[in-house]
Amino acid sequence: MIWNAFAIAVREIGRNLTRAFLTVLGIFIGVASIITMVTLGEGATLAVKAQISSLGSNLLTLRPGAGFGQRGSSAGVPSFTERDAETLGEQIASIAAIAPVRTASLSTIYLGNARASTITGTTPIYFQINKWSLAEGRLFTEADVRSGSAVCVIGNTVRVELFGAENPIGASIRIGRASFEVIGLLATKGQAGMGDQDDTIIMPLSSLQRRLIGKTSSHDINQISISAVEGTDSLELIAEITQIMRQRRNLQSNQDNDFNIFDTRQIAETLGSTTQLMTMLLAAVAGVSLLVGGIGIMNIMLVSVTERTHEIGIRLAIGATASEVLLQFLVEAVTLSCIGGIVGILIALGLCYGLAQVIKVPFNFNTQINVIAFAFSAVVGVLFGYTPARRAARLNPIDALRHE
Amino acid sequence: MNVLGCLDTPTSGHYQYEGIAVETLDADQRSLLRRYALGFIFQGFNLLARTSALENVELPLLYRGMSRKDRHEKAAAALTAVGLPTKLSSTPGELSGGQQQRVAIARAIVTEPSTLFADEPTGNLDSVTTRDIIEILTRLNVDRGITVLMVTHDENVAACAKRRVVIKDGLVESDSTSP
Repeated sequence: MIWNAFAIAVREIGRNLTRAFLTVLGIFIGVASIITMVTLGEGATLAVKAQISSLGSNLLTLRPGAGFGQRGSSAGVPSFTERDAETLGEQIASIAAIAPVRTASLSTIYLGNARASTITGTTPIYFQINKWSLAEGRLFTEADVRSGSAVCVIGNTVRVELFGAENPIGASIRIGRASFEVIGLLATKGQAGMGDQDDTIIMPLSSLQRRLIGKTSSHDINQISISAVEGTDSLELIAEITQIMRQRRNLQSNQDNDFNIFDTRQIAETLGSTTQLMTMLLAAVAGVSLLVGGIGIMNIMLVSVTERTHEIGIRLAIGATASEVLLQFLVEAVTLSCIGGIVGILIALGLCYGLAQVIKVPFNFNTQINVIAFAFSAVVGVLFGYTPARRAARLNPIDALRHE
Repeated sequence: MNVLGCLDTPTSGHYQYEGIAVETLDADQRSLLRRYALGFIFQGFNLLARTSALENVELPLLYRGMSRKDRHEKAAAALTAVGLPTKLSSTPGELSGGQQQRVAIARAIVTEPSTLFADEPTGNLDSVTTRDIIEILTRLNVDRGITVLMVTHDENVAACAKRRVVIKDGLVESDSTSP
């Protein structure tokens, strides 16, 4: 009997392909939209989380100038001194590590390859503060800083552009007017919403000062990197730093700060709560589209059953039992819902895969949402295909036949 | 008529078909009675749209669980018997009213019922086609021994019957048997 109902159902689907197509369309749009939205949303969330953790979560950066961007132009504002960094480290207990940083943009040459790179001169603790890890070779040491040795550590982008497939460790590159030995290669960090972090060359501060730019003034530190002790209230720490820096820079009480403090923990918290909000928003939108998809399925099913009450009457009149007619409708609904669900999942996966490449978020397959979307559509399809059919099949054959 | 054909249930009264008290049967049992013993022809044909004549005629056999090959053979034979051997793959939309009614007759007789109910079978047809349909029904009665029970308003059609029951306003007016 089931096989028989299946044969009839398949024949009926084939007989009205437009109706079948519309039913499948309703289902697969619902399924595909939910899966796409949730998958991409999760990918974006993962991407944001990865960026935050690559920045380091308790990192403060001190820069000259009143604020970020153009408004906070540091033109005319004195830079920091190495002594500033030392003082802050000595006086504030909640500072775990502090590193003075001097950056310069210089041309780098290796054999035939040349490019402009940002050179960072600092102390070894900088690697720890900024969560850099080593891929190959070694980092420079305090001894290198004291002696001002001609050594540097490079990021992966620099390696690719200058060395290609060659091993950079031990090689000698020309930076500005001096020659440096590459002693280490940093592990990749990737994009972090603030440019390519891997496009960097890091060397001892004293080497940069003596060999490349020449020490002209003690105010030559354009950034101080600070990591806080775990569990520190960053607002309190910022207040302490501000107080000491204002004193050291001889600012009067009526003068604004001529330096700014960039707090990654605050950024991380903001981004974290934004991401959470975004995920909730996506879940809400997905819920609505699921509902709309469900209503679409319901409509097609209701309309088609009304249309088909006459057919149900004919089948009953020539001797089909109500349960045989119902089984046929059930099989039709299940078949169409499953086809719609499967097509929806396939299209969603294709879309997610493609869009993930375009908007550069990781593609993260979520089994749960696939199962939920499929099950929901199947249930709606079957429920609304079956329930009205059951009502029609319970009529006297002659009443069903008179239904126009 | 619908009560006699077990398409409807009587609100009151008693109906026995070959010793079976029909009003005591449930919906499924009435379906089985229709499936195995009764054939029905409607004024409005009631064929499945977008479905070939052959498939329409096969439909009752499908519910009897007959094999594909047997269904094809029997349905083709029934369509040949009503004079449509060349229209097996035509859908109702492609057939004239008389041809559609013949398909409906083929569908009703393909199960070899003992009784055939015809509810104004010629009500939608012209007089020439009417004569063809009545001829087919008469032959079914004579050649196959199928009881044909027909409702009609047409005197000429009624004249072909062996027994005539005239009903006026719900009451039997006369009941006559012709030789």
